[in-house]
Amino acid sequence: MNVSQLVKQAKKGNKEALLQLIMTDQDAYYRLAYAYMGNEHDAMDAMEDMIVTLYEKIHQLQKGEAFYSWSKTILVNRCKAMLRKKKRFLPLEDEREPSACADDNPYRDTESEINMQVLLSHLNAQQREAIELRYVHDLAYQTIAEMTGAPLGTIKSRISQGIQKLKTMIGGDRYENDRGETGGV
Amino acid sequence: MKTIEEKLEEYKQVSNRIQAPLALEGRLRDALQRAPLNKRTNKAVAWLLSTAAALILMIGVYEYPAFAYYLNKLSINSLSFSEVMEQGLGQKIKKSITLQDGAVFTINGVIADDNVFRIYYTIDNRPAVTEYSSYHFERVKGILTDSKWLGGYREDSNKKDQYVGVAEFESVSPFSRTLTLSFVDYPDHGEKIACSISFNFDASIAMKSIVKQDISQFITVDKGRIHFDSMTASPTSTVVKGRYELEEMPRFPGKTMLYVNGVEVAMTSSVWSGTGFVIKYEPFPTNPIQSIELVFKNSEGYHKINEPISLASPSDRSIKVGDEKLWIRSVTKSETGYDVVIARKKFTFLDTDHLSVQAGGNIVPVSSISKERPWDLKNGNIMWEQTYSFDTTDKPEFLLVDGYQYIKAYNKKISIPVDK
Repeated sequence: MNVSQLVKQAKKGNKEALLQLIMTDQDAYYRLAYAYMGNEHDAMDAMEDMIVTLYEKIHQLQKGEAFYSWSKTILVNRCKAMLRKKKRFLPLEDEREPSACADDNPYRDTESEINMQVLLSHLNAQQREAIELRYVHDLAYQTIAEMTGAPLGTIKSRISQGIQKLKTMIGGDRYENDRGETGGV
Repeated sequence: MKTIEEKLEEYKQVSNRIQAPLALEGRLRDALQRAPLNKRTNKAVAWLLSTAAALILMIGVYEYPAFAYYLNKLSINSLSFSEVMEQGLGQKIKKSITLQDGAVFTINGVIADDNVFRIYYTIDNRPAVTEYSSYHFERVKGILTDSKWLGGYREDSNKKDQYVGVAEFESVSPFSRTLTLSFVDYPDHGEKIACSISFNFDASIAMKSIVKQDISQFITVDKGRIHFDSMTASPTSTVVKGRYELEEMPRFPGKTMLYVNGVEVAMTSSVWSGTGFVIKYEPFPTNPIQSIELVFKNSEGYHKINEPISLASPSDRSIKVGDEKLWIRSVTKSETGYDVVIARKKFTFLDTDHLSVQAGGNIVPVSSISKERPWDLKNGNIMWEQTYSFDTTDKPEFLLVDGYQYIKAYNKKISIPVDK
């Protein structure tokens, strides 16, 4: 059964169809939740929260093919709501703790990742979020705009400015640090 | 030096090693099962039904609240609160609080029985409700009452900026005279707000159950017993409670069907926590009750495999092992040894504890197992396959596996005595 057919079933209240839609792309959902929540327990809670919300709201979804971007937007919003609840989601101006450096992350074991984490930590939180959603989670610009509540143009410019900043950093000759910290890549 | 795009790609590859935990599917299924059925009430049907009920009530068949429902084959669950009130089954509350964003939350009324305490509410003036603004019910408290939220639904009403909804909680004690509903409001902008609203409860509105009794019977399954402890058939639902006494907790809950007077009553949810389980069905459809039967259709089974399985001629043709089929799709040389691709039905799980192959006279345990991936047979069936890797230079000849878990058909009946 394709996505549209499954969405149709799910709209009729078929819970298994909804579950199948999620399970087909379960790793991508989980990685997205994990990126925000930083640990398995909270990532799973966020996904539970998401699937119940999807079930309640799927009748509002107009186009079946938009299911994946729509549901991932809801997931990100559930994550942010949970983080707000835990008071861990700081305003965007503040620097977010690099989630992948959380102590209980079993995947933090390669130099390249740590390297990239350090690089990303020098971006502002908005640029970093947009770049991670685009390059790690493969999400479309429009979806990122919906997830973050920012206009499409803003997302594009956040990404391109962030990439420029990263390029400058690894270029080495013009080390840019807009917070005046000592660069320690 | 790598470009930033290459570095990001590398970072992505590392991130992509994060895989969803195996428990995820079960967790999501449970979460969904706890969510009540999306009932987008068909107003026309509800109106017709309530009119029919009203007519019957007028000619005096009505005896007491619960009875009217069974008699008219009406489900109280399909009625709006005003329709519930028309039949004298609920308690009108009409109590409101104003939320921080100006929205007004009103409890219109409640109904109560042995399985549920249900609150009918409306939200007015919610400014531009979006996908993400929400509120979460927590519990209803009172003397001898601390009832958890079980689920609910809401929908647009016919009025602008108004939502009507239903929130269900565990049943409340008849000794509670005042109840307090607590919930958390997550407005579109700003912090969450804890809210509560208290109201008087008239326990005399609680509807009687048609069946409320112990079952005290068990079914023997491959790895232990499944006990069915009690049944409560109230006007809003039928609840069967039981517990597992098994060597290990099952991967899936299995299916138990309920028949009343020989007619199936639809299951609405099945939840287990710890060793206990609760299966909910629709309310009983008819009265008087002649027979009540639970049919334990299927549950997790374990099939022991005593014989080695030949890997000599892999193909897309299935081999029968016990009640189930397996497909040894390929045995191929890899960089580090041999890969064996085995397909199976979605809920047939090979026991991987001692899974190994016999190769060149040696027993070689499996070194890694891939994630499952679908294999579409293009005939309406989708199987699931995994690659099992073995560190051996000799070609594997036999697969050695202790057994598999699967959904086993039991079809055992439990009759529940009826007081006639």
